[in-house]
Amino acid sequence: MRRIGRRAQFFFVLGIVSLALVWPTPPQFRWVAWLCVGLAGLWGVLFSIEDLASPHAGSRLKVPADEAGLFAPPPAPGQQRPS
Amino acid sequence: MVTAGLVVTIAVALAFDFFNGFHDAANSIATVVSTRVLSPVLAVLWAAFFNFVAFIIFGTRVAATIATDVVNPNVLTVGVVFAGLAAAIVWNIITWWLGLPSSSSHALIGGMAGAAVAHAGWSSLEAAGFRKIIPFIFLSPIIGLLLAFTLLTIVMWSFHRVRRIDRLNVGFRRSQLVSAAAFSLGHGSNDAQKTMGVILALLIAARIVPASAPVPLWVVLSAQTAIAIGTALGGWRIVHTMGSRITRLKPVGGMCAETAAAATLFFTAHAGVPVSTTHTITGAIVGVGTTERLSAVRWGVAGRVVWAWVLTIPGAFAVAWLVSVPFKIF
Repeated sequence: MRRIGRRAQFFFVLGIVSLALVWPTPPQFRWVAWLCVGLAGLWGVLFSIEDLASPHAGSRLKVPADEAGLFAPPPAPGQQRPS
Repeated sequence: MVTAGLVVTIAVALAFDFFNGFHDAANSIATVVSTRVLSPVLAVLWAAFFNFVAFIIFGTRVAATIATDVVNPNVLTVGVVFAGLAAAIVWNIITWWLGLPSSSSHALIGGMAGAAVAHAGWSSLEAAGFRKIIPFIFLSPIIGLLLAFTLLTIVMWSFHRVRRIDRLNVGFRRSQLVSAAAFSLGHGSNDAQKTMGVILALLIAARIVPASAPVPLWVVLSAQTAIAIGTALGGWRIVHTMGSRITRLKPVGGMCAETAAAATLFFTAHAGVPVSTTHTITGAIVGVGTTERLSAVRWGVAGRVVWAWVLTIPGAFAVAWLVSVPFKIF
């Protein structure tokens, strides 16, 4: 099952903390807290979309594909390395 | 009336400002030094200059907040201000001993509040002032983090097709000179003004100036001079901690962290809200680290900053209360 990553969760938590700070902030500065809610929410949503849309979600490759080939185990004796 | 106690307390306030420059102002130049844009000596001179000239651009609104919006000016005495200042210094020494990167600003606010409560009870605190200060204790690192993350992401999107990475890095290294100067201006506009606020509170307590008086020019110049000398003499010794222990920075990351923190400090200085420059730049550095991956941030170090952040105001409050109560009894 595809899940959202830690980075998206981190931004959602930041958004929730900022939302909790809207009420205690004096009215003339509340737009600052709302700006934080908006920015954190925007990044949280964008990272969630990336995580859910990625074909490798949940099983990200540790190294790029070309490097995986370069550092693959040596071929068995008598066989050639695939090009 | 000018008394020996008043003169000694002003001297202690200026010493507090000097050590604030010695300790905190290194944050302004941490990224410039860790990315090797400037040598440590040149970097501290650069930061000291921009710390000094900050009052010309941003005025003294933060000083007025510290002097009149934390504690009711009618209950201020030289003893209350001295106890608050002493508590802030003691708290800074305790946290330095424990290796916690605490905020001198929060220590000062907690210390002044604790001394005033011990002297005249809870009603001596200005609720409106605390309603302005406390949300920004939490908001300033969050703003720094989100702005730094957003700025770096925009820069990465804008330049991702550029193949001449070395030339691009030269450009970012040069732009760090501007961002470090901007952050130093923000630091000078915030941290030096706290000492101005303390001295103004002392002058109000001694009935030398009325509660509505602006900050006298000699107070402005002496506070800016103290923080600039402190920066020039000691800042570079702790540069390494801020510049490389939380996350390893590249020139572009350093530029974005400083620009985001400077923008946050410019806003708070304009609004007259005292915030921690340490926590603002820490938030911005974490924001830069988050663009790579969450594990690029050393959460253990960031966690220690958060603990110091949460504990400083109550801790300094308690120390000031403990310092003040025996004087009240005897």
